[in-house]
Amino acid sequence: MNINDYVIKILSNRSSMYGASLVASEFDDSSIIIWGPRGCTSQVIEAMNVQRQQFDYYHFPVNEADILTNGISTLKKNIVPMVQGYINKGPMFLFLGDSTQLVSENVEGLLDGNVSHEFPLVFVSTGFQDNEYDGINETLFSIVKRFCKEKTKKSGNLMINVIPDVGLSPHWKGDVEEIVRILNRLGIQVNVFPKRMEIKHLRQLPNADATLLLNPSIGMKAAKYLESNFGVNVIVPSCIPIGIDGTKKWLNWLQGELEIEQEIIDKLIQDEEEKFFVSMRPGLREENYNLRVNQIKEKKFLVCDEDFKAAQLCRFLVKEIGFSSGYVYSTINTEKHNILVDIEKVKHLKETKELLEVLKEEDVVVILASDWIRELTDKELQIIHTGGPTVKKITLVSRPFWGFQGALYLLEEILNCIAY
Amino acid sequence: MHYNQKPSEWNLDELMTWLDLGFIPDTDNTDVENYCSLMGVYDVISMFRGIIPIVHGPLGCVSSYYSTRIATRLKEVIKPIPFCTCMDNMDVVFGAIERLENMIVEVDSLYHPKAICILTTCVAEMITEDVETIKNRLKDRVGADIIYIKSAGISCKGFREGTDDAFKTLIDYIDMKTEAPKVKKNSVNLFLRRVNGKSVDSKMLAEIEKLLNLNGITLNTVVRVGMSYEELLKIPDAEGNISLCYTYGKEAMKYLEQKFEQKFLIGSYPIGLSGTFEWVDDICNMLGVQNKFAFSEEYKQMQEKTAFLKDVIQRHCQVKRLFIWQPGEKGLAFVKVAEDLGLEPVLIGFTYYLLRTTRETIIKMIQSGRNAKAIIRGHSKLWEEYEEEYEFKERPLLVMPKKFWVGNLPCINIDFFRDNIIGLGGLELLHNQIVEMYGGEDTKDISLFDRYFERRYEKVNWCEKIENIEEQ
Repeated sequence: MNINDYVIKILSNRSSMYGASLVASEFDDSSIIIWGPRGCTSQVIEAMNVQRQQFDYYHFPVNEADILTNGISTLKKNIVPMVQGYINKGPMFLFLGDSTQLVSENVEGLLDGNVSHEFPLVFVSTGFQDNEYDGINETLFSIVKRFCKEKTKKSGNLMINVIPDVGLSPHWKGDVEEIVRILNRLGIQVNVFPKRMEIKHLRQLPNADATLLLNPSIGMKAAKYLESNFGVNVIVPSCIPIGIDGTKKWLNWLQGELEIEQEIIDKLIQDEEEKFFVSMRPGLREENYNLRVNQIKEKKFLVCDEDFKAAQLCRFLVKEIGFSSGYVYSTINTEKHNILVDIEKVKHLKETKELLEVLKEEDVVVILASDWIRELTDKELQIIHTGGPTVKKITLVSRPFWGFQGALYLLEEILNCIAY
Repeated sequence: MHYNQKPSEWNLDELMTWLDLGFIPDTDNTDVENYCSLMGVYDVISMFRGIIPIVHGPLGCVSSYYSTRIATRLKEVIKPIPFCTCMDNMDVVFGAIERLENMIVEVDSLYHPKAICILTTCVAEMITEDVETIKNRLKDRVGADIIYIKSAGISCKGFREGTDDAFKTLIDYIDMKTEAPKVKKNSVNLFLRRVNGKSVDSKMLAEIEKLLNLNGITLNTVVRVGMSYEELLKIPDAEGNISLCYTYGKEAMKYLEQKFEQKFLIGSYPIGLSGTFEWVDDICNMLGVQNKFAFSEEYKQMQEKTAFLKDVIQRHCQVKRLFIWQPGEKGLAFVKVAEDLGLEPVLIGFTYYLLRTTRETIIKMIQSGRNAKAIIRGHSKLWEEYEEEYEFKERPLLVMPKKFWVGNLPCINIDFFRDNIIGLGGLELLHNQIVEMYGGEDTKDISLFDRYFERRYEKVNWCEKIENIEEQ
């Protein structure tokens, strides 16, 4: 790795404690305890900002003496009264910082002896070695392990757990809502884990018929736990519902997985497609739309996102909107989904220096990325904020980019970029 | 949570007594800047053009802090690139000192900085990475000077101590580079404030320069985001030091006094008429210069504006108290504004740690007879209680940052990153906000003012109204 690789790694990655905090801050009336040095709070504070949550964390500062001698007794001294006085409705999360993890503090042993098994404490070892994806996955797994104890009943209707990519893009909540809307239209009851869940809702997760991952990199460990302990099947997508064709493909895949009648799927697709074109017309007059779409053919795009999402975005831009060429840079390689090479006309930028050259030399009109990319160049960039993590602009967007409605908004954003 | 308790009002001198007796739990984690010393050091070192910080540690130590605090600085001023050795599991076992060495060499050859500053984190210090040896080994291989600051959070030093450490290390470095300072008569260095690199900086600087120039005082250097390496080395040439926010610059200024015998001022933020006058007067006294500010056109303008504001408040509203939210150095300066406007100041939402950090300023205030009322509470729920309490009484006037206020009490809303609050420009802002809230001299139609109040402050239960309409 050269120096630019490290810079991009710092800009486009976060720590596992950040990922864990993204999940923890999704629960109302929860609280976070950080067992580590004071700097760890920066990751929790950023995650809470991203999720637009009020800061509610406790921090036990760790010092050299704790590390060298007996830090665990300090933790015990602090955590026992805190547990006794806890009145919040949501879970209490305990995160371990890098230095406390490094000295292998036996926190689980401490908790076993001092905290009741009924108490809603979720312990996550969020050290320094992994990124936010691991933090999210570990926290989801810890929650499931902590609260899912038994399968109580089987509901009549088809019920599935949906695990979204929590906090990984500014529009993730909008995306989930759109997916839930589509699934509800198919008559499926949905538990979105962990969106605004309470502990009683968490206990219902084993009752579902299946667990659907929206992003294969997020939630696999928790889903596998539900599968092996309660027989809840895991459904891993082969694509993300981005664009009209992408959503159709996703629905057809889902039909096969959940054995839904083809007729219902076809009817839904027909309805939603009609709605899409009807909604698009008032916003973009036909002549205006044609003019901008014609312009697209000469323009180049750049997609900079995790590889699985990036592949779908490229497909949408080339095959559905009609871009003639573009570039893609993958920020996180999940390795299992190496499908970028399938798309013609799109150059895969494998090296960091290639990305920097494109930003410097090429006239790229549409950039689908996160705003950290602005830090790499002095040029003014038009960015459609599809990915994470964010730099500077800390906000959630209620408009989706996934599903049928998402296709409309994404198209609008892209055409607006061309107009400027 | 403290917000279930009813607020109690105390005087500043009482709080200071309790603080000194150790009754107030001013623990480090009650600080609003609850970060570790690494972030404090990084905050300072990343300010200067010509000095590049390299963090030796895991990615998480830099990525979140960089994105929320460093990258939000104005790009035009400085665009620091985050460099970090991104230590992982393997590095904990085998160390990453070679990577650090390569990174220093690469940064030196690519960016040609005057100095490279190595900052170590908890992980690097716990596995005892031998940074000193690297520093010595690279002395002749790289063009930049190498500065090493031990900044691990496990030292239990906080963000503010980290800032102070960084300044002290830089002052030692300046001392090493300076042969004999060429002191310029009647010149001062200005330390700006902790969060700087914002659009308001230039407006504030213009205001400060105007106030100082009236008395023949010049700014030698301004310690702020975007300051060049060369300017940094000029620090010993000033006769004294001042800081816009005293808690930010105090340790550095005290250390400069030790090193270069420079005078320094205890005081911050020239806000309002008396606040600005006293600030200018204190600087003049420090340098032994006659204060001509009271005879200037600017001072007359400020007097007129203040008298006008006082009149607006007295004639149009029943306001008696000015509530100042989370009073750090800026908030404490607003006590003088309250006095100017004939209002009683109440410092509200004082966090325990703020009492400790602003101790010297508070003592100076008490000594000058400004023993303001204070309420130690730190939660926004408090405002809801106040709103209920004041429904049928006088309406308080609040001063608070824009991003926090969501209620509907009359409020001087300030965006401290954009709005200039100091000197005459600051008074202009206050003037506009108060006139907008309470109506101005030319708003003769009081019914308009009443309607404004009715619309804005009366609680309306819209659901009930809609239900009534539906029933009808």
